[in-house]
Amino acid sequence: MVQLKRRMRNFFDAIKRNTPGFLFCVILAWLTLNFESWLKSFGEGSIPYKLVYSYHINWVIIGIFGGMIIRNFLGPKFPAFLLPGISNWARPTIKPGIILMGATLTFKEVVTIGFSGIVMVIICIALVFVTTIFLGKKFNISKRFIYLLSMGNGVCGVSAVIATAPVVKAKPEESIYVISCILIFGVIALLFYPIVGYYFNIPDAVYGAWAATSVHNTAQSIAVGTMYTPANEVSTKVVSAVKLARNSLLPFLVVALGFVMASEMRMEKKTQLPYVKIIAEYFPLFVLGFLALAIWNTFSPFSKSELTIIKKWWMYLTLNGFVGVGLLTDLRVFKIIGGYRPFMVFSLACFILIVVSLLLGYFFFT
Amino acid sequence: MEGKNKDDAVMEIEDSLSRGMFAQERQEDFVALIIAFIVIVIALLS
Repeated sequence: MVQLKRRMRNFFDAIKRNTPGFLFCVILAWLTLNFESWLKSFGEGSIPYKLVYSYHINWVIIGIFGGMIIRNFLGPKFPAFLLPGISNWARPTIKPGIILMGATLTFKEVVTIGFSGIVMVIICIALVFVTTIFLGKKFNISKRFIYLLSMGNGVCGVSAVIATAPVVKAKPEESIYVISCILIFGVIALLFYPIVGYYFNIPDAVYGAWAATSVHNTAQSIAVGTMYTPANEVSTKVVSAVKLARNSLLPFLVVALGFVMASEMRMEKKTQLPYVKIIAEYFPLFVLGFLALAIWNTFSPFSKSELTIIKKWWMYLTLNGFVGVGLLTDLRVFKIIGGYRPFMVFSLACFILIVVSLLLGYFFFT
Repeated sequence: MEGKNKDDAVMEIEDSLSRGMFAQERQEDFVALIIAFIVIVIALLS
């Protein structure tokens, strides 16, 4: 009875804590869609028309950068009571959005994109590990820090760091350092990837694969991929499928790293890690939802009207999440990097990853 | 001021780490599956 009361209290506390921030994002997302429609309502040749059709200012860009501008314009004055709802409820709405993207693909498409994506991801991860280990030794960085930097850079950002930290016995400040590097790079990617894409006229599918394999954080990666050409959905579909393939590799890499660490430390069998439990716990469940919908759409295709409703909800949910990503992008993160050597290693490995993944994107997706 | 900002940002990340971000991710995955299921039901019923 006491436990039930405590649970009820926690439940109502969570609603009270998260509702304001969530509603704030919903309102901003609604304003974003109306703002885009308003821009489109101007005639050909007008500045708003050029913004939408020549400079590719779409709802994803307006939502993310609108959020970033509000957050960083207000700085420390940004109402703290909004943050829990933005972080806990609004930002994660990208995940059901990704799942719904599965309904627009067939299983064959998922396998085709996913297979090329997995090959790309494996090459990229191997490259990042080799580069980071080589540079890390040159810059005299500890082995566990090198592994942490490699996993953060190669797999899927923050989740990879959190999953890897206990396996390699990293210090908390090392995890924080790598997470900061990932977030900093994510902000840079949000700003520059679309510009590079439009400037070099990168094909949609190549761009999607590039964003999925070289931007670490899932939300930022999907945002970077979606903002390119949200209308024709090609970059969105590819970035979703390839990023999920990349995320799915996380538990297996954590296990592989556990083996390496165990053999290096000459651990006894009884002190080894519970590998099956790690795979079960770290496997991203929403990937299964995405696959289930793709299989459903293969054997019993969704009708045009059903797909229209699904795509509308996909847009609402992902936009809400993107606004959350923008509002959570605090540019003060640039100030917290302490010590230049690991950052140099991360940046150099990241730069090589960006170039190689783009070339691989052209190889696998054109 | 810069020092204070640095402390705030570090504390924010430290806090999210200590809260068990992975358990939260798992919870988010479950909620995402439920929301997607509801949307599919809405699409099928309408």
